[in-house]
Amino acid sequence: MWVKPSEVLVAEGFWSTEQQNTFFLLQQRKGTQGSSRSFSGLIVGTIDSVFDTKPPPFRILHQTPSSEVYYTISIALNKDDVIKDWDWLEKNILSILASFDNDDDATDFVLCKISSLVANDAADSDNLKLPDLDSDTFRSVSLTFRKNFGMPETEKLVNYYSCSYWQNRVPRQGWMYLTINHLCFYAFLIGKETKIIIRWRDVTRIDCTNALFFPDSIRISTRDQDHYFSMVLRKKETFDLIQQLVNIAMKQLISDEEYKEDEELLKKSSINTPTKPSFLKRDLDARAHTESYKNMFRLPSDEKLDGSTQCLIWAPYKKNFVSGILYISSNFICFGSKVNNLLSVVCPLRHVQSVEKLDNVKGHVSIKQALFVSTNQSNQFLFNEVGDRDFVCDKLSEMLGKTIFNKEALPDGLSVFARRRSRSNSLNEDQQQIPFLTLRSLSISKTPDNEESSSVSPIDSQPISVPLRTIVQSPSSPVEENYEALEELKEKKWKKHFSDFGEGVTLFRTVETHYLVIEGVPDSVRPKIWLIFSGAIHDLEANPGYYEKAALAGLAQGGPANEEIERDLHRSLPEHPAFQNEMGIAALRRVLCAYAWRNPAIAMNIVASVLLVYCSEEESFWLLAALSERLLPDYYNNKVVGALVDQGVLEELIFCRMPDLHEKLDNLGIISLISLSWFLSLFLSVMAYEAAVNVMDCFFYDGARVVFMIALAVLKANENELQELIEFAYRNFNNVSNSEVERLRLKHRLRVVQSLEDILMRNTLRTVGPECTLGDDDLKELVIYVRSRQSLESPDKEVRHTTVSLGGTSMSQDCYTVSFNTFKNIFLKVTPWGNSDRSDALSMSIFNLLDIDGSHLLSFRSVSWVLGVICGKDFARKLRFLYYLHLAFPPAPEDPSKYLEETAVEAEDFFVEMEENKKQNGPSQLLENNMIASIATISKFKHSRSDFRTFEKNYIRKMNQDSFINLWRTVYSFFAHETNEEIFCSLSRVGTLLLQTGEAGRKFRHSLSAEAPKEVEEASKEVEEASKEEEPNTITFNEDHFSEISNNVCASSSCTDDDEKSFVKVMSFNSELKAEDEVDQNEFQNVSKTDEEDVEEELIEETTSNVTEQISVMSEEDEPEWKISFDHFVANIANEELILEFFEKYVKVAERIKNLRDQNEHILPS
Amino acid sequence: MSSNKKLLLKVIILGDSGVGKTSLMNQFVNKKFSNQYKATIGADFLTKEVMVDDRLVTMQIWDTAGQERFQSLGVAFYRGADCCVLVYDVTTPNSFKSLDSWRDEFLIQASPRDPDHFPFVVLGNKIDLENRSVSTKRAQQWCHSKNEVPYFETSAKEAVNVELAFQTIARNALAQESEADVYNEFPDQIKLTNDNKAKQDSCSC
Repeated sequence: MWVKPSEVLVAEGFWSTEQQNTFFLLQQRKGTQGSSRSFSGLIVGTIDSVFDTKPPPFRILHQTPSSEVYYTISIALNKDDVIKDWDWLEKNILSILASFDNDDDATDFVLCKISSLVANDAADSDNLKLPDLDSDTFRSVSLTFRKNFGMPETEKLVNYYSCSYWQNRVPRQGWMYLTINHLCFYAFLIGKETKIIIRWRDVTRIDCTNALFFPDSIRISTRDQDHYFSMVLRKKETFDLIQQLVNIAMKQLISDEEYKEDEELLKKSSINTPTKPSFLKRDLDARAHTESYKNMFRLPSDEKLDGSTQCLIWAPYKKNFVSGILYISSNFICFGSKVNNLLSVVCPLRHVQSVEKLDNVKGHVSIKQALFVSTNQSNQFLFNEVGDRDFVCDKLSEMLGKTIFNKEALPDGLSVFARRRSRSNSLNEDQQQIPFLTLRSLSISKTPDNEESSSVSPIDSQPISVPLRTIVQSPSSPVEENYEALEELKEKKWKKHFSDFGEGVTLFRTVETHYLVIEGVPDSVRPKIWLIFSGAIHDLEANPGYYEKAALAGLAQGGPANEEIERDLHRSLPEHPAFQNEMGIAALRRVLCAYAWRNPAIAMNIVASVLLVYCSEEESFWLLAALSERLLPDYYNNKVVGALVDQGVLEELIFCRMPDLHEKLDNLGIISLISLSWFLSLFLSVMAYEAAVNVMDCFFYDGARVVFMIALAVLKANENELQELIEFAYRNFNNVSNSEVERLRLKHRLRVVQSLEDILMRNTLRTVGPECTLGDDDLKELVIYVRSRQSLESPDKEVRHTTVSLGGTSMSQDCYTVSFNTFKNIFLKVTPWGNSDRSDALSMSIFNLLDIDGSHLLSFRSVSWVLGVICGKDFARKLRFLYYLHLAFPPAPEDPSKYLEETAVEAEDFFVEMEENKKQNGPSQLLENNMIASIATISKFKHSRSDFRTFEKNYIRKMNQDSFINLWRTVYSFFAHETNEEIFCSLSRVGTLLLQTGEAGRKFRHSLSAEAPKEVEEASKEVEEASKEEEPNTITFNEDHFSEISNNVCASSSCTDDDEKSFVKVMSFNSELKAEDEVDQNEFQNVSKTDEEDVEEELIEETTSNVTEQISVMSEEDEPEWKISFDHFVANIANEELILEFFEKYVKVAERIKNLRDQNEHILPS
Repeated sequence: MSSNKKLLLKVIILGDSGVGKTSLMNQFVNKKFSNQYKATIGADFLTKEVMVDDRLVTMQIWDTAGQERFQSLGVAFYRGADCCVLVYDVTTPNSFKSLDSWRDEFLIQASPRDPDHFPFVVLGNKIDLENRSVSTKRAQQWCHSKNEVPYFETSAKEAVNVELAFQTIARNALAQESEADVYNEFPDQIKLTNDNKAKQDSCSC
């Protein structure tokens, strides 16, 4: 890349010259060459590493023979780029330069030419490309980082910090690189390199420590080790960033979501773009700010903070200004006072009618740089002394312009609100002044009371647009007579509040509001308060008609989620009269199904039913959304992770605030057990109903911290009456802030997610262990590797997700799946078969073999099993597997992609056959095991159908010539890298023998079948009968028994003991098989008599018929073909020691996987 | 083991959601039935003192949530169970089919010393309902195949067989308890973390 020429005084020193001509030098920086071991290289490397000088490794200098001054004219990050520039110079410039008489002229020309090139480039990039995201320095650092750690392009660097890492109690000064998935550390001190790579996913704890040996450092713990980083210059910033990245990683683990860059930010022109941090860092910073902003004002999740500025707001209710911060985001103007909770305002832009600049108002000297915002909700805001007012104003008008379009699209949804009615209409006087807008504002419409009774006609699929409370008599409470009066009193208070502080979503949220909420919200105001303060109102207004669609779709979709909903409908709030009739139940069903459609992994019937009592279906729906997506994240997913996290938070809060109590509870060990239902049902399942609803008022107003405060208060003084409880909670635990909750959640999320992962892993090991021949260590390494790969590969995630949400009761070991890439990696690097030129094809066919259900993912179980076979010592098992593999899924000879389609059909055919084989052999296997229980036979037998592993005990059919040649190629390929020639002798010897065997069989059969086909049949029947009667080992064979004879021919030709043995084996195997089949048939008939289940009976009938068929097929299937059996194969191989040695070799799986893991740790799949 | 020592038996009730676990427990402990139970969240337990063969024992009965989402929590309280009660609903075949996975799940999570002889009891609940769809014979066969697990058909609503079933549960749990005294308290654990950490912390320089 051309750069503006600059003078360089010393050309040598840190640089070594690669190429040179009269006018130019091409140089590379010392210490950047991979192989350089020179002393100066080390020094330069150290200097570059310690100081923040990270120049690009290549440059071109210009110098004239007569001058001492050098000019840098080009720099490049890699050799190709620099060579390109160099070639261009040589081709275009050099000849011209030679024509100059004067060296100074030459220099002038070069400088001028290069400057113009630079200017051109700049102009080009301005026009064509997006503005450069990252500065040059950053890109250069990024490149060094990638080179040092072998990270791929996709692994983007977020930021880097200078710090020192404690290695064996010695600090090493170097650089910490933070990326989306990893923390890396690199130090290079006089030839000694230190590299650390930590995956965020593996982090179990992060904190700031000041331990004796590691002063003032950041500690990052993984399962294996603690890492200490100290002397971090900007410790707070670094720590926050680390926290944020870890949190992203944890959330990925919970929800399997991928991190996506915010493309919007690309186009955003920021006023003060920092020069050093990467684009990603800015993105992350923006996220962090947006996150806290959204939490503060409960805004929809897609809201993005644009900016904030200091200002004052006019508080009309107390006639003075309150200072605070004005926030502006894409759809909202928000204000938060400097004093916490004193005053806050949320004003959606959709309600804004105008924004005016206001200066020099008569009589108001204090007003300057002011903005006046008027809304259609009777509220007006005056922001005074707004910093950067013009910018804010422009921004607002720009965004208002966008929302006007949306406003016009709204009216369709208005009908939804118009239908709404309520018992009380006393509260809407203010709104009647602006009649049109009342419809839109969520509050109560003007429909009078008396219309209500006639209008309700509950058709099952028609959403009910009123709270259930208004239809059904409220529960008979003991304080019935007081109740009405109390409600009235409260309503009055609220009415006054609304007139003082404004109404609708734009009201001034003050301390007074807070007090009112704590006192209890009257039933009629509840939906309004809940919707406004939870922020659900924004979603509701932005998505008119969404609920109806979702309800229809949700009811129609069916599936496990709906089944679960159905089961819980009558167990949600059974004591409330609203849910003792079909209407209430139907409403609950609609809301839950609608939400399940939006988010299938979630169910929260109890909370939903309470919402329905007070709000309409649509309102309840959006409150649910706010609840489970924002207020209580991950609470209601399929592992209730969120609730577990919050239990941890609660425990820590108890520990900090009531250490004595904590100790007692800890001894009992049940705090987590009790509190789970507190969190999940928001105290509804443990408190008196009215009380719990009051808690919900506070919860929607004040966020998640309320739950914790109440929990603490309950523990502290559980005898107290409820009303006192809430007061008590606020009085004593008011210092529990939402931000503290968020911070603690972060910490405990880490712990919970990682321990869930541990449990999963332990269960996997426990279930897989017994049936796999791998050692414990091997399995452990394998599971760790598979898990790390799993989280990296996106297709895995999707599948994993669906199986989790769909599977009724899935077994624990199924949670880990292995994709083809991962499997291939393991196969190539770990197994002894991976080191041949056919490994690719082989790995694919093994993968296909194991992929029983066609999901293109293997269960961890099957992978560990296969590794157990391939890496074990049992050569016969290995060979059996290999033989079987070539029958079922022959590895492709040449082109794997083409092969896939072709063999698909073949494989299918094969499996039909296999199925029969299994049916035939499943029971016989059980018979061997002396399983008497007939019912167990059935279940086991059913199970075996889907399990390929039973083939180990099955009869394996013979192999034809093509398959054998293929098989032999594979075997041959295992030894391709061998140097010992004897092996090849052995190989060819065995190969020839086997070929001959097959050939001999064919000749013999051919002649026989030509002569007397009928005889053959008879003969085969004879065999059958004979074998039934006689002991397997004592079978005398008959000359007509062609197959045995062919065996014999071959056996005698090779003339070894092994062959004879194998031959006997074949004999006995066949006869055993047949004998057992007979027994099985009887056995099965018995079974079917005793069993009632139709399905199973059918199955058995099918099987028995199959068994008989199979027998006849077996005896008739004697076409004159080239065939060898497995026993031929194994016997011949066993005969050659050198080959056998290979198959008997035991592989240290754990070691190899560990290596693989170390190599791959940071390499993402491309 | 001294026979006058007061014994605590831990009993876990498992089964699909909605089969009547909470109802069974409440019928046994409080002699009451209500059709107004909320779905159980996480777990809950009640205790009751019973006489088994002239010995007074306290049964601590753990009622669990049947929903799958709570299964990850199981680990904590499955441990140390003396008996596991598997409940299914005779009107829903699926709840019967999941008995296998509940049993496996329990054995994996609780990892008792002798999984083959750990006392299970199977209860087919809701026999008061008309639309029965799992036959007694089928259930008995299943129990038979699992090493002769005792099987009862109950109705929590009409208190049929509940007392008898829990008597058996108590007796079997007691038998397990007396055997267990011979062995150590905790089953082996698979350790997943390296020991490096411990080493690092302990040495000083």
